[in-house]
Amino acid sequence: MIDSTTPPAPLLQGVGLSKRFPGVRALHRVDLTLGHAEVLAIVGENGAGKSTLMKILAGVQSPDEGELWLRGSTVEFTGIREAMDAGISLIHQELNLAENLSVAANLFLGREPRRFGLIDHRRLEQESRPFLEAVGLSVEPATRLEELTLGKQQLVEIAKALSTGAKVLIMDEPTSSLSQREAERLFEVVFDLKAQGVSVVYISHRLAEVETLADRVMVMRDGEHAGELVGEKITHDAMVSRMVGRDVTRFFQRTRSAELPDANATPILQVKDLVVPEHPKHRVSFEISSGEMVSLAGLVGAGRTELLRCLFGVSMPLAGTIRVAGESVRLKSPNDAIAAGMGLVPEDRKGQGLVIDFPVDENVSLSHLSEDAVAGCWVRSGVLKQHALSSIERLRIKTPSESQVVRYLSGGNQQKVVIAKWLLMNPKVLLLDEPTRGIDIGAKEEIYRLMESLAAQGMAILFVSSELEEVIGLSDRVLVMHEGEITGQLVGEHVTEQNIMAYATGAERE
Amino acid sequence: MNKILGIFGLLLFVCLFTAVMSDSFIGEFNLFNVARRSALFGILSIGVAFVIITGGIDLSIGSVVGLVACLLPMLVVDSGLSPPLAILLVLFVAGGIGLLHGLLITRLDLQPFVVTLCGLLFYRGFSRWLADDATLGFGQEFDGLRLLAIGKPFSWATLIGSAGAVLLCYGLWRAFRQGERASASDQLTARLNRWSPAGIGTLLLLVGSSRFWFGWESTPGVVLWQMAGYQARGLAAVVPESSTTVPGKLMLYLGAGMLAPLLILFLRWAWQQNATRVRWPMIGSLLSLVALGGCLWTLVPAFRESVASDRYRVGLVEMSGDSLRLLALSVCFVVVAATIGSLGWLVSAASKSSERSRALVPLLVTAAVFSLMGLSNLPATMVPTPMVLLIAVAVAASVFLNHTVYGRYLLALGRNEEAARYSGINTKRMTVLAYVLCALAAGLGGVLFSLESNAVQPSSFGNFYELYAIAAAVLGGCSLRGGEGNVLGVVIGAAVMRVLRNAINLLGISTKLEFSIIGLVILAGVIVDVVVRRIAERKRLEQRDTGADEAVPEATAP
Repeated sequence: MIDSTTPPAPLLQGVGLSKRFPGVRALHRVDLTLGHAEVLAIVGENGAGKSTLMKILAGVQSPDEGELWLRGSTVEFTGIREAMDAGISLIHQELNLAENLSVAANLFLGREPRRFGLIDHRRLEQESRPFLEAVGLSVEPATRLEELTLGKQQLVEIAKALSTGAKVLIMDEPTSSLSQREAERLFEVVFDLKAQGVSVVYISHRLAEVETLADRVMVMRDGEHAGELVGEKITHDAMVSRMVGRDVTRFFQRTRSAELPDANATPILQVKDLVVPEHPKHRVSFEISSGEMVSLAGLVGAGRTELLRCLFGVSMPLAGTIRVAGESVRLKSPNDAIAAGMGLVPEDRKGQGLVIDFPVDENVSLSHLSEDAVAGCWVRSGVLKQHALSSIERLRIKTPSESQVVRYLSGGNQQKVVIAKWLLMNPKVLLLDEPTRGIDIGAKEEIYRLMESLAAQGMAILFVSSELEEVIGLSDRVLVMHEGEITGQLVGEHVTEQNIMAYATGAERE
Repeated sequence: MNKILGIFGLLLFVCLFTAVMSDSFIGEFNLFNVARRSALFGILSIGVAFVIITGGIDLSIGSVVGLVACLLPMLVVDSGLSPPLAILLVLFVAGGIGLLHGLLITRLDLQPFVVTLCGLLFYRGFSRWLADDATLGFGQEFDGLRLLAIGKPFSWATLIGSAGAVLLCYGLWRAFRQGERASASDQLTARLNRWSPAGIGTLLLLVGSSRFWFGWESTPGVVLWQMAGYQARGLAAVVPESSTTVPGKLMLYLGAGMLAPLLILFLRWAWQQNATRVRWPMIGSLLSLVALGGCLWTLVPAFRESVASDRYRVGLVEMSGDSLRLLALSVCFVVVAATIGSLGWLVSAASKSSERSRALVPLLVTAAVFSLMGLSNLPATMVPTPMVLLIAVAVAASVFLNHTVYGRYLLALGRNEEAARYSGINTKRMTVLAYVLCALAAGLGGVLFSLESNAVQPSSFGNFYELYAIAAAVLGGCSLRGGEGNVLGVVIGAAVMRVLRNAINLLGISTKLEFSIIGLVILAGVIVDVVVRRIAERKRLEQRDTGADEAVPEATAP
């Protein structure tokens, strides 16, 4: 297929790549081409096979069928090391760096320049400088990594890849934990790298990023190649329709109730002059009425999660009052918050939301155990099972049975289990922190509908989201935070991307 | 469940091996002592299991045992406190220690290892100072109190009978409540599943009560009276040890009589369903049984009769008695291990290939255990009082862990403390509770150990007990990562530890090697556990893979 008459062979090429895992066909005859100095974005729902493809390219896994061609000759990687030697580096979603070592030491981890058998620190730092410059990082090589922000750590990871002589960088969701500003910084670096002749394979859920960055987009669906978009054709709608295999309306739009909440009724949740320990300089005040859906928008690090943690009693506020249904409550632990009628769907589903190795029924009833128990002590397993079954039916949780361990459910269904746990408690206020993170589009929409129906039943909903589309499409009212402070409150037609970003970056405040 | 069966298999192996190599193992005196020591350590192990389930560790158990064991004689003998009051007081002290540990760990966020390590050192030093390093005891005046640790309230036959009665009631209740299991494929399997608990209960009841029906004071009219008198004498610990051999004989005949037909049915059903699957396990079992027979015929007598200093001719080789004994010991060890292993393999393979065979497993195991126990003197042996206490503690602990809200909370917080906290569980209070329970168990153990030995040396009493307890808990299926563990496994784990120690003594292995051997066995147990789990996981994946073609659409759906 490669002969001398064709223009120079593409940098990296995959032909008919297939990979099966027990029970899953992860990749099916996928072709991929990556040119020189090109940014190729790969998009697709969760489970579409993006990660598998990426792992094959980086030598983490080998394909069951198909071939990899590098600069016109076929290659077979048996490990990540070989791929690295061939100039392909993988940058993981979670960084693979040692936080307790210096930036320079991280760059050359395992390849340290030595002198008399000992690490030559002077040379180490000297040699790391050009690579740091290449990614536009102006930190001393001797700085300990943990002193850098997450965004800068990401750049260190990229510099590390460059230092191995990488010609192909594979980035897996690089912006998932970066702030907007850090992400923009990363984009600049990607453009710089492209100018230097490095090719980038960019995997992201954030389609807006892909629109800005990519020269070419490859869409994957169910382990197969589902279309390619080039240049002007790269639009949000075009990508989404190929990802889900049908044309979709642009985004979920909440059907807002015609009547506004009764202005005289006491708000369900009243927060006044609350001082969150992480941001002691600012006071936060707001109110939420029953049936209202309010979102907390802002950049990562704006203090939204910290605020929710305070409201749920995970951390203690330094000052201020919280009233639930008119009654002042003092929250010393989540227990108190639950007793006051609140529930929290935390950001870290596996670490905080679920006991991941417990079955569905035990997770669903974990908060509700003592209420069902005889004399508050003796567990009635029949009742547990009933609760689980009714939750599975009500939320349409896809699980083989109520005794399935939640680890084996998909992200969306895991999140439904977390929500089911709170619905059992019938809370007045439901707090959700990034409720749709890491969930694919179909399941996202189900979660939105669920949140909407809860609000319609009179629950007050406060949710944090970093996806502007979600904030705009879903909320009755938007509270925008910037560095620990609520800088703006948007209602109705004022809820626009521009307005939110203006308040979120601190450019404007009320 | 598999883990419990595994550790039970290990116990069976150690017992069988020791019994084959030494006559004294199944003697009444030895069985009684092993049972008593197992029970005492079982209580400690259950306590530490709670802490391990929360993901913590308690290293202070041995020192708490030592402290309590010193305090009790001091209070009872020196201060003249009434024994019940003194016991309550020392338990209170132990509970306080646990509370202190728990509070330090949860409120100050100290590491359990560090806190309890300091406890280990502090209580040891404190007890030595308190007792001034003098040996403490209860003398002769408190023999009534000491019965708590060395008493013999009733025989194993009575215990077996009572267990049978309980099982029978449960079995009948279950059979009538559930009716025929809808899931079973044919009627016979359904019936077996439905009636086997009640059947086994009946057998146990029959054996337990047999001394009233056959032989030994056989006038039915005075049975109740005799039972009462028997128990009364039991409390006073004056019952003659060789009371009756009837239950043992009956167990042997019943067990052996049932074993052969059951085994044939079991294998036949499995063979009909999936011959290839059971072929190798069957061959392996047969070979190992033949080898076992060979050992019993040649090596065991050689081991028992050889004298260390003499020289013997084995085939062409001449060797010293010492080497001969070592050779016999090692070969028998391997052969018994192979026998137990291959039989376990056979049972597992057969029960996996046929549902009917699986339904037969409980009866089969009962028959096998019956015949083995019938060969020993266990049914005629007395039950030590600590065993009764252990059973009470174990039942309470098991109910607590599996059927109460707090038990669920402990398991949940052991798996994922943060998620438990976010679900509104007061994780700190639950963690404190675990340490209190552990220290209370150690306190109870201390009381019993003190009463049992009657000579407490503050400098060494209870040394290393925490390690025995932790090892038993780990053997019994607790993960040091937390969130995993069951009481029955832990109790069996403690028994394994004691039987192992007993075996080392009985077989004339140098006691200097004791720790090494125990360490090796635990390591082997843990390794086998990991390996078996990996194999099972791989098999599960393979099975999913072979059935994957139809499952693809669902598997890839969100």
